[in-house]
Amino acid sequence: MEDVRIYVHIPFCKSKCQYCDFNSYDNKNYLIDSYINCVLDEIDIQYSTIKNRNITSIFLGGGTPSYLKPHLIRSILHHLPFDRNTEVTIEVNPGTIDRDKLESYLDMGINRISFGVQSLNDQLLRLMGRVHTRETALSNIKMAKEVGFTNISADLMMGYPLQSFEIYEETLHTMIELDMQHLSCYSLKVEENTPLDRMIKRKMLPEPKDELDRKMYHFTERILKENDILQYEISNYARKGFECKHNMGYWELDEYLGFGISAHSYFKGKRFHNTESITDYIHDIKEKRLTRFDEEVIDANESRKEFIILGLRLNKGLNIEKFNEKYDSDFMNDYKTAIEKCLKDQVISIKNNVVVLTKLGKDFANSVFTEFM
Amino acid sequence: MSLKKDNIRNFSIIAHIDHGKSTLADRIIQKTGLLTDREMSEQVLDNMDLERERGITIKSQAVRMVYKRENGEEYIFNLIDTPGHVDFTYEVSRSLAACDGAVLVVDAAQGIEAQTLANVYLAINNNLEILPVINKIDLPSARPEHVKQEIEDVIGIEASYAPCISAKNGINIEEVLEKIVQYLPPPEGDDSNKLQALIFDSKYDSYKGVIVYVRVKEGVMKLNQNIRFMNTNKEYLINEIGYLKPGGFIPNDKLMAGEVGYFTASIKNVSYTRVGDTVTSADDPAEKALEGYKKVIPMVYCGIFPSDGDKYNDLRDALEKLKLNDASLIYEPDTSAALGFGFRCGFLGLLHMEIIQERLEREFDLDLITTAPSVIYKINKNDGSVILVDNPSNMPPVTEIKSMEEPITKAAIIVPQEYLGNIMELCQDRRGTYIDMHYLDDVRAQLNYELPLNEIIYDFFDALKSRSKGYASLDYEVIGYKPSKLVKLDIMLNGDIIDALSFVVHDSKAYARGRRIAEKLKETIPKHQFEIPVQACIGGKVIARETVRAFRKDVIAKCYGGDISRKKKLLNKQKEGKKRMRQLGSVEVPQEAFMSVLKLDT
Repeated sequence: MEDVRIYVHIPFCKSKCQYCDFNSYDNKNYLIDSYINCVLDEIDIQYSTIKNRNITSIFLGGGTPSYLKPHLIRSILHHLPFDRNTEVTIEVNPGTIDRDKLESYLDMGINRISFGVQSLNDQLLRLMGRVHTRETALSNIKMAKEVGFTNISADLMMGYPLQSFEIYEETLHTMIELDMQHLSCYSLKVEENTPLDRMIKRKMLPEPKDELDRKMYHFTERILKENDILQYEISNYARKGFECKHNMGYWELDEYLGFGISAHSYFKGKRFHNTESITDYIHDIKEKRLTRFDEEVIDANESRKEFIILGLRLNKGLNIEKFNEKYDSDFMNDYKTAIEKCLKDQVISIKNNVVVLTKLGKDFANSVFTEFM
Repeated sequence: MSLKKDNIRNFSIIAHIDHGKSTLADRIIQKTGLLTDREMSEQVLDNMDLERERGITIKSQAVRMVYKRENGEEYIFNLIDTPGHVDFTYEVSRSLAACDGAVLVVDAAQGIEAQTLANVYLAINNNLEILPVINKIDLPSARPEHVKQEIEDVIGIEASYAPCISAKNGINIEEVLEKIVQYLPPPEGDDSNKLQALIFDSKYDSYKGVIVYVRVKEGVMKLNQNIRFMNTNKEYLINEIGYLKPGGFIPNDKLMAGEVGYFTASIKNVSYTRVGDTVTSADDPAEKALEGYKKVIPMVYCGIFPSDGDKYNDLRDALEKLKLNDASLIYEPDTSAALGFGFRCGFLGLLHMEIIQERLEREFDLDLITTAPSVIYKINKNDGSVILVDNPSNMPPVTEIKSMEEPITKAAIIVPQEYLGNIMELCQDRRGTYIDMHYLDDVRAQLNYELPLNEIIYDFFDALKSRSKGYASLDYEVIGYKPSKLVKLDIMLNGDIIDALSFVVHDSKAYARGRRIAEKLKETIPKHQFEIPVQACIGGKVIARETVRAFRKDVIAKCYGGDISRKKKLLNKQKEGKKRMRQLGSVEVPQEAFMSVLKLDT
């Protein structure tokens, strides 16, 4: 049976963060029930496709999935034929859960929690527009452990305006003490038209400083390694065996289907996504209609590109033999110029038929990728 | 169908850009019934996309039409189109020489412009009768009587009978046709004289070879006739001859004195069929060529390099192809330490240069880097020799130079009075020498200046337009050389001189321009992984410095919920940006940087 991964988008939040440009709403609670019903309908429409597949991972992302009442989450999972081997992740924002919620998550088959911690500095959290405090974050994580979760991750952010190295360092140390299985440490990217972007443009906040961001980034890699939390992707770190299967699927060109608004899919050689409008979505699904947006056929040529730019993100690197076999070609020859340039610039290294980004290469990953495009 | 000479009218339409030349031409073609309305694509005469976009006609063409008067009398109209820009003055003058009359279109709201005047004078010099036509009378701001008066006062021709029309809305077009018959003269010339035909255009066709557009002045030109081009001395056998219709040909067996048409003779290259040359019979040649032939000399030079060094051969092929159709384009191989292999190209003027660049990029899909345009400087060396330099890289060392001279133009600028101050300031700033000024009417004045060509080829047009809210118009011609204190300004990036960015500038402006260029380059050069000093220097002395700060990261951290397309889009955009970059030593410089140093005033 072929594998498939499932992403479900829950576009509701208690309030929007300053830096967020994901499709989510903090003012459409009245739509929650009908939206979830539509997600269930969408799964039903696709059911014939999914039922012949082995679901290797499910990711309930958002927005804030934990903002919803647990029975709604349960109804979604009930519609999906998964088993105990499936990695089932829910994104949780501190301050939106309690012990009962966590227990019911465990009960409905969720086995991985990803906490949107971002920082443990209360001042910075307020600046980011997060709804939680350091205390809530810490107690929520502890609670998840007590309830019985053994695969817990947290998202942290670095390079935020006014975030000093010391603030970040303290957050990271505290997270290490909490004995997490997985950490995602993202460099802030100021997305256009977010409140943060506007504030920076109006000089109400200082611009993020590249140097500081890189200092934090290199520090993260080093300090987590010393604590056996190893980098496996540009922004992701895990204890051995706790790498996020779902995200690995993205980097390794596995197929996945997305449900809900803005959800992206890569299925049968095509990339596409659902509508970004919640009203269109509800309207369409009620008429049993599914519209694919920006459908892109991934031909061999495009697939090679993706294989390289996604594969190089991973610490285990790009396996040249696999590439040659998959695309019936000669990587070293096809990309001779790019390889030579990157080796000369010391942004990649090649050992045992595997290409990996060097430390410098990770800082300038985009420049490396474009060499191969 | 050959009518007697009295029933032929050979004429051009002359006008300023946007005053409605092409629209009127379309209407005339429509009214003469040569084409049905349906066949009539807008603006038949301007058939190159580029021309349409810029609203100008680059390559002239001619059309033959049959006009039937109300009484049934038939007239042959040969409408000869003229290029409408100052760079092509010579071509315009030859097109006009092929006519006996000209229709002068003046915008009823705008009145006379510098270019209108320049073309009218060309027409008058060619002894053409001029029929003024006032266009756009349907505009609310139209003031036809005022414009008629202006034509009489400024040009000194009778304008009371000028038809008032709207070409766009087809108002009063018949009156124009009728007045062409009444006021423009029929051709002169005698079929029994020895053949003299004036070439007013030619273009290369991959099937027929060069198609030569001619006006037969004297004698008869026939199919299978041996002909000779009197200035290039090449001989050919005519294998096709005939009349011209919009977008096509009407083959015939001959062209009589006074007629306009085309011929082909298996000619491989337009450089043998120079505009202004005389075609005569090889077996029974005329004693002398028609007057007015000039070998075209390029005025403006620049380096053209492929962004991608591997595309050198493609660029060469493209230039070869353009040259087939453009005798005034010249080029020779050139190398630059910074840009590698490319070509040094010569153009009639700035517009000609821009058109060629755009055609290379558009029609041949090339990514180009062009260097700052240069004029030809005359350098008197200490050893008494004189050299001409069109490429700053070829300047001899300062120690060998005794003195330098630069080309000077006579420039006429027509501008509404309220902007006179601005424009005079601009001319002063561009080292202009004031000659005189006179008022055309109570609104506008004509300013005459002597301006160094070197100053015009920078951003003079842009500056002129921006300082007059777009109202000023310019016409110029090179009148000679004058001694001048010039220096070569070099730009260094990360310590290396970038030869492609060097240029020659007047001593008095070197500091200011060096500073501006360093600032501009700082804006356009993206951050690198190291700091890049940008320096402007004269003979090794640094006169300005800026620094491009280093960047420390370039990485998409986020996963975007499986939205791989978004990542790819970002990377593709970056890749596109990179493609337009040129590696200069250790620094990647975007193409815009090369152009930005030319637009310092804006």
